[in-house]
Amino acid sequence: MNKKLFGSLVAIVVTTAMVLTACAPAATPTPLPPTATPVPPTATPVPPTATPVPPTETPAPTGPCLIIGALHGGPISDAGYNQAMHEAVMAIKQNIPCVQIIEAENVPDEAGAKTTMENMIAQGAKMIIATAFNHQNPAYELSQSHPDVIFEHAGGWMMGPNFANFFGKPPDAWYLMGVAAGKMTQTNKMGFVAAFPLGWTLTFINAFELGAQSVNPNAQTIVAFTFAWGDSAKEADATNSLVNQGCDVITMHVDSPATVISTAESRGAYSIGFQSLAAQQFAPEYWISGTGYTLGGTLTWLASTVLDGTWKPIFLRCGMAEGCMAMAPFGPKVPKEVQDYVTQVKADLEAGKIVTFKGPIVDQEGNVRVAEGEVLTDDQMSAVDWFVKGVIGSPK
Amino acid sequence: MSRTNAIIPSLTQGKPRLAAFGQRFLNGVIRYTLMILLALLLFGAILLISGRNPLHSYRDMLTSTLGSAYGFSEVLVAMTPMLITALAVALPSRLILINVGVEGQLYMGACFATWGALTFRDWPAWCLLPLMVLLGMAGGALWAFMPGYLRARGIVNETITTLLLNSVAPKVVSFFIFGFWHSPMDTDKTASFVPAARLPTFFGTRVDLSLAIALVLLALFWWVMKSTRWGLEMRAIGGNPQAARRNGLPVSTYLVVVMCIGGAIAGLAGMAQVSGYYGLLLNNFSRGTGYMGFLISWLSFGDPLGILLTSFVVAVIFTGGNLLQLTQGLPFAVINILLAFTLFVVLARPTQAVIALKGAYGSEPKP
Repeated sequence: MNKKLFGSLVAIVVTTAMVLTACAPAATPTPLPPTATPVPPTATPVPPTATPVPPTETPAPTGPCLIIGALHGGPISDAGYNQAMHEAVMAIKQNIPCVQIIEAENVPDEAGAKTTMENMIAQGAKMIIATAFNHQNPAYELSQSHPDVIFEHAGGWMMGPNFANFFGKPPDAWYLMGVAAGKMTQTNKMGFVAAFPLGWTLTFINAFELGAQSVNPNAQTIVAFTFAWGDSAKEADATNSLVNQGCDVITMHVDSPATVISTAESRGAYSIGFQSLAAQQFAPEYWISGTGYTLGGTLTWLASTVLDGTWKPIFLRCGMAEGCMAMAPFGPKVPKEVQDYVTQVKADLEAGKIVTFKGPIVDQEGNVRVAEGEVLTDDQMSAVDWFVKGVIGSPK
Repeated sequence: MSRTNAIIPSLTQGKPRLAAFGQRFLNGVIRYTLMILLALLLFGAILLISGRNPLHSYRDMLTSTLGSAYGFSEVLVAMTPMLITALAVALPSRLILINVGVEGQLYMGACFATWGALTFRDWPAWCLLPLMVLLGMAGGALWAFMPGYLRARGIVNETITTLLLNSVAPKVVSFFIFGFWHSPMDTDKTASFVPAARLPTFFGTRVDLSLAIALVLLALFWWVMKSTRWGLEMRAIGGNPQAARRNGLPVSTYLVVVMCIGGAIAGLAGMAQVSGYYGLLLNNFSRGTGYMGFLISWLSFGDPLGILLTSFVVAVIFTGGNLLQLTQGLPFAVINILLAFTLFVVLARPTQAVIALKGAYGSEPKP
């Protein structure tokens, strides 16, 4: 009977551990902006963001005019990527009241997401919005077996007759944040907490460093990888060690900015947010600024085209100028002249006067990666495996 | 196993085997149904408190899982890895080897199988798939060999080593994904496998060959334990290793070999996940399948029938819980509460009530 007792004890411990870990927010990969290659270059019509679509007149007495299934890879209250996407989906409901939204959070990756989407379609969903990068394959496969359902995926590259992709344009936003950080840093060391050494993440870090160098040639960015999209303990560790190394500006590319920014705040280091504008709440004092996805207008426009039958598969990328990404308000410690300068750079970026990845750009070893007169293409940005000069850390 | 096995002889005496089996099956079903009803009752209270209609919720869950062919197929899909991983725990448990390391062995199996799938992508399916199965089993066995050998030599307890190796294996997998198998387009996963490296599926659903393999393995396990010399010797070692050793049984060899076979089965589960379910190797893909298998095995005391029933129930809860989120607007975490209730109730085992119930038929002696 001892054995049974032991077995039971082990089982209880494991059950408890499992339930506890199950309650923790699942780590989910942030969708990354994609490579633009295999897509017929449709002149991306910019969605009218400011003008909400007029609500369809008669709220059909029979039920919702359109059922939209939205699935997220992580918890929708993460103050980060998933929350930004959740708010964008909810904006559809606000602007077009007759739609019904079925939403699922913490949806497993890849094949694990298929059940959720099948269930949504069984519930009558005619439009599926998949916001996690690792939901692209399963969504694409389902789009082939459900030709009557329209699929929109955030940040991928695949296209099909009823499958399209939408996303923001983060590199310019990162350049802008680099400018702000380069102006604010006293120690000339900035810390970047990143999840994985992936092409797009490295591009963000490079854009950040280039922006900082444009105003502060001595600015360095020190990179710490956590190798997880949502590991709070590692994020706090990484932030602390970056601050210990002398970094006085901290930013990040992980799913939820909450841990990194609140840790930086507690250490008295400036912070720069990403993913969601909600990140600002964690740094009432040392907040510089941040950027986040604000795709509500885009999604509303897409849903309205589904409603009136004019939906077409468009490879949609839109930046700050089009309202798909936005900059958070400045924090209380940011001087007026810095605010003005950053605002000016923002206008220049939007007008195309400043191009983030314009040559010459040299990497850490001094090799020229982008020659004079050349500009890094989206395709190349997605596959970057080097850091620009001034970044401290290994791009592997 | 101790109790159920103790019961069987008393049942089989003077009764045809089949009837005894039927009786046992019925008892199992009644017992599990009662336990699950209790869990549903508790969870219903929570649903009521949060302002949802429990009956509607349960109706949604049942119709979405058992009410349609698609739903049922999804239950089977969710059940398959649990069956295999539970078996990977149940077999060593007959030797009182506590294999907590299924999760790690599963990762290594997946890792080895992925190497095969990515390296020999030109091979036809009929030789690539068996190769991947062998590689997967080798990976799992290798990961289980270390704890098994250390235990057999009396150096370290296998519970500790298998548990600790669990956190190593996913990092090894990450190393390969980010080091060698990483294409810039894919972030935290390998490229998709070629069709030849995918396990065949049945009837246009996602149920793949691994379900059949799992059922065959389960039957094989039952048969080996019941009717072969190996089974007898393993039960002898499990009952009293000292006595077994004095009787000349190669106890150490058994410990290592059985541990490796357990690991190989877990590795097979990993292979089935990457080749059948995912079709690629995803960083941290498992989401605790190995731990779930461990739980299921211990909850059913390593009994093949119990493994089948428990896996099925857990799979229904998992699959049905998905829909609660969509139709009832319940947060995702809620389904973990139902699962936890079920597991705790099964753990608590309201044996007294069941025995009293059975006492009415006068069929079962008190254990």
